[in-house]
Amino acid sequence: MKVDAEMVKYVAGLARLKLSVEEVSYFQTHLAKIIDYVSVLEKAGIDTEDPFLDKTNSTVLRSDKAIMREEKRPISIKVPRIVG
Amino acid sequence: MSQQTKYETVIGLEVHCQLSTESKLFCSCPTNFGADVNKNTCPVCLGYPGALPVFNEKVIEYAVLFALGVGAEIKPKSYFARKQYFYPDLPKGYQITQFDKPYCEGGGILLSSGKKINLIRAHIEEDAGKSIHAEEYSYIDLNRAGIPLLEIVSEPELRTAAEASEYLKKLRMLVKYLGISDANLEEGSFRCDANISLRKHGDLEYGTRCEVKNLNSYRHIEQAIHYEVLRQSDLLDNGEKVVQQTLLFEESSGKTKPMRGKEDAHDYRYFSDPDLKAIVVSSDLVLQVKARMPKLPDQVYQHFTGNLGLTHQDATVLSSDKNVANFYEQLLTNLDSKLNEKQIANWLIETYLPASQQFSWDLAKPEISIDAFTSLLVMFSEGSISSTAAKKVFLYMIETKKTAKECVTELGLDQVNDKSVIVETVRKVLADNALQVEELKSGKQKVYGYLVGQVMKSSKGKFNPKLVNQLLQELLDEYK
Amino acid sequence: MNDGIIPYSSTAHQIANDFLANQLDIDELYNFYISRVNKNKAKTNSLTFFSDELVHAQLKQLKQLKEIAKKDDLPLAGVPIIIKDNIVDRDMPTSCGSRMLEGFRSGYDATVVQKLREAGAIIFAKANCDEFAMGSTNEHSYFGSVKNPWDVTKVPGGSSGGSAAAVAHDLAPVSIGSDTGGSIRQPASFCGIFGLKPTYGRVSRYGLVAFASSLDQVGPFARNVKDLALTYDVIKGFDEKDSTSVRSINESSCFDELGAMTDLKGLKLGCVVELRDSKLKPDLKKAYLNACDQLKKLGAKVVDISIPSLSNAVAAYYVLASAEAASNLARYDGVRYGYSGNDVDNIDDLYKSSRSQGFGKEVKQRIMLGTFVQSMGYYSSYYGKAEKYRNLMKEEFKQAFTEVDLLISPTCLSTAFKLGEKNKDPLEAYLTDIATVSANLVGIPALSMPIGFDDQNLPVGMQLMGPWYQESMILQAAYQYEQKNNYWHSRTPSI
Repeated sequence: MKVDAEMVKYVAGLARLKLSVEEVSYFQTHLAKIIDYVSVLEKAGIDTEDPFLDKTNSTVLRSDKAIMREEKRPISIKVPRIVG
Repeated sequence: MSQQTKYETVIGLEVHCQLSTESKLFCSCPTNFGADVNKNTCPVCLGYPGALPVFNEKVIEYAVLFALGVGAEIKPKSYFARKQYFYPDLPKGYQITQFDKPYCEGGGILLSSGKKINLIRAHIEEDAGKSIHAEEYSYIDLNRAGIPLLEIVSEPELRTAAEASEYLKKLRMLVKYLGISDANLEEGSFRCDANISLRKHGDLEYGTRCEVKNLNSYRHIEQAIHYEVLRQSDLLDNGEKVVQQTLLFEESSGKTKPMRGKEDAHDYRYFSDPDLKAIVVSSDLVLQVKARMPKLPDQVYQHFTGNLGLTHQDATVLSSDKNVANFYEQLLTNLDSKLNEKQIANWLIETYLPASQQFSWDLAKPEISIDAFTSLLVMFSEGSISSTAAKKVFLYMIETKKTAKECVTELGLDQVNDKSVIVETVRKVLADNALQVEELKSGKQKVYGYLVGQVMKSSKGKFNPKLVNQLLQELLDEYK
Repeated sequence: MNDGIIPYSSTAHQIANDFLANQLDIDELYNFYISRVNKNKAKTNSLTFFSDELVHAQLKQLKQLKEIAKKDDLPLAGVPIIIKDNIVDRDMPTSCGSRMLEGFRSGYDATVVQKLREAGAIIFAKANCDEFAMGSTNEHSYFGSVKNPWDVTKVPGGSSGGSAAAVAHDLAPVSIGSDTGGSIRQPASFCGIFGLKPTYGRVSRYGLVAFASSLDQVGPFARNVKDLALTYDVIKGFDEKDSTSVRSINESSCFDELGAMTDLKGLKLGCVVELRDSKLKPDLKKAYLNACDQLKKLGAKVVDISIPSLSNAVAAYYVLASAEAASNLARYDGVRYGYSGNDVDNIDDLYKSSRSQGFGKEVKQRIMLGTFVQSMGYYSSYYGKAEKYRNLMKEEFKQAFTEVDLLISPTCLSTAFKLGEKNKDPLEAYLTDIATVSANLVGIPALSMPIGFDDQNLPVGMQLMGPWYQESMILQAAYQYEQKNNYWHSRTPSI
């Protein structure tokens, strides 16, 4: 798995991070090292199912009652005009 | 048009249908439409640090109702996934939805042509907020963020705009019948995205499709489809390729335009949401929900035409809305053969429903209840008032909010059935119109109508016409 | 060392007991603690927020509460407790060690905080921590590194370094931290105190600022096992606001059950060979083996046990934890709250500048890794594989607990590092978590207890891991060890 500057920039874009030139270089180095390290998982060839899968209970259920937020201050959310 | 016959239009529809629960999907915020901006919010749906989602149990019930209504296969266990992207109306930076493990698959909607449009799947997800665009800024209202949605995906089996329209109408009618959604197109509780592609007739492979988003009226949907078909066929005719893109329908021009700002939207990095566990639907739950299921529109229609002998038109109108169908059934029960099925249908369709539309009644809680309407129809069926009078009384009931009986009295429209009273008037009229009586005796049948008119006139129309006829005949016989 | 009238070794259970029995002058106690904090917090930089006004306001309420509540309902009455700054509190800011949330007011209490209040505790201060709980040294805080009270040139461990350091030099008898890959146990080990990571789901995460949702757990720090158990009893329990919280098969009081064992006869302990046999410094190994002997003296049977899947546990952990972290941190975008980039023309720039300026380097590193392992084309190779690996580990631990009652190991393969030693190479820092990540991956409870010192007078910790829901057994074992190895009173930190 090649971790080059393009890859770093793409991932940074997905994560909405703006990286400086040094940061791109830093992450390229360390990300490559870490990804190389974790690649051992792929080679391990594991395909085990969760031993507790059948014990998966239903997610917690909440009764359908509406409760008003206590906060009385109005919340205003403003962003630069969205285009498109 | 030549372009349309050259290619086959392939349409698949994705409908996002808001479920009409009291609270949101993962928090207890109210879901009422039209609240003050950001009033219906809390740390969970605002995406505050530390907040966690908890699933609304009513949503399973509504989801199962839907699955039963379309005949889909319900999965005993399904899971939530995070769909990750950045957009201001998405507070957590991800939408909680279902990805590879939706709660139901399959099922379908039957069109009037007999063609069944199959569904690929339906799944549960949370709605995003809304943006209101001003000149320099966009304002975000998160009241809608977190409202439960059913995303219903059809197979690409629709072939015309008309089919698409009918499919949507039927789907909408179904969810309203099931009581799981208001399905209000204007308020955005029933939204449609259309996937449209073309291919040469006979081709097995699908062409490249484009997605047209957020079409919020049947007219727009049909317009958008027509425009897209033209646009794509023009491209193909010129030897160009159709580029896969997401489009928005522009109301003013009737055209579709590319949507900007979602370029990397393809990499959603779906993964199973670790904050939630499985949605479990037991067979017991399915049985419980099935037992509570209302009859579906098609079944009601069949019942009205097959068992009650109503015409296609009448049955269509009466089965189009669950409340209306219930009104009809209720009237049948209340009136208990005092009037026949056809008569009751007429009263409902010609008198009650037009008023309900004119005055914008909420059919769940109409201004004139069915019981109130019943008492009016009972008086009619017993002959206390004429048909014309009843219609007048109905309007007066709406105006004054009084009972039928009170209105009849106030309007002085009580039909007189007292034979002795009528007889007296008839005698008087005969006495005052001796000449006409003679003419009648000598064979001038026309005069009969005049005599009846005179009797009715002096009673100000209140006499029961049948009795007037009967008594007039009797008295004339006496004169012979 | 000890500059107040109150003995240095004041314990939570004693404070609560004496206060409820009207044998404690609570105002005097708090004068002591408040002045102690004001005098000493800068030495370790272990706190990010402290307000004596808020403390006094709570004391006032507590006194009223004491009049009307039953004694049994206030097991922590009057106890000052410090909360890690990634747990929200309605009165104090929650900054998570980050510029992104500097000064952020949540407006609501975490369930854990609410439970502590209801038990009569005073929410005393907020503890410094690695940014968004990501780190093993507490050097990644926007508010500066925390220092180890035993040696201020050394790290206290992380990410709950502030919580551990504060208790170690008695800014409070008890604190609360969070543990995602060892963030309670490792600092407990480095600071010579007790720390407990409960079974996943036993303590509500509602109000814990999420790092890795399937790994995070909130847990207590204390200088003795009784306080640890007492606090755990208060904070544990199913919470309907947290869909991952669970009911235990056994809801009885761990505190009450502490004395159930009189020794460790009948207890089978599995010494994890992969951890014991890795590169341990000789003085650390000596302390560890000595502790194993002590356990044997108490009657426990200590056997060797192998957990082969440990070899790749760190890899699996970092893939899963980073992926969940990247997802959980997507909400920090400068739009609704938190740090917001200025001078921006469009929404994309707002996101980028808020996040680039609001997050520190380590957080960005994790976000990058986490985003990568879930991105198109790589998901199945990395994230998918890590999930499968996790399942394998669950199997192995399940199997291990059929052979032994508890698993033991050194909590960390070293003692406290020097400040600056491990923050050049992220991977090197990650590898130090080898002993602790498994408990988070498989969801079992684990505790770190102080067992001695190395040649530099730095604390050494031993980890006890137990089967799911068996916190009580772990606490009992630790209690027995503690009673017979009265180490805490022999030495105290230099500050």
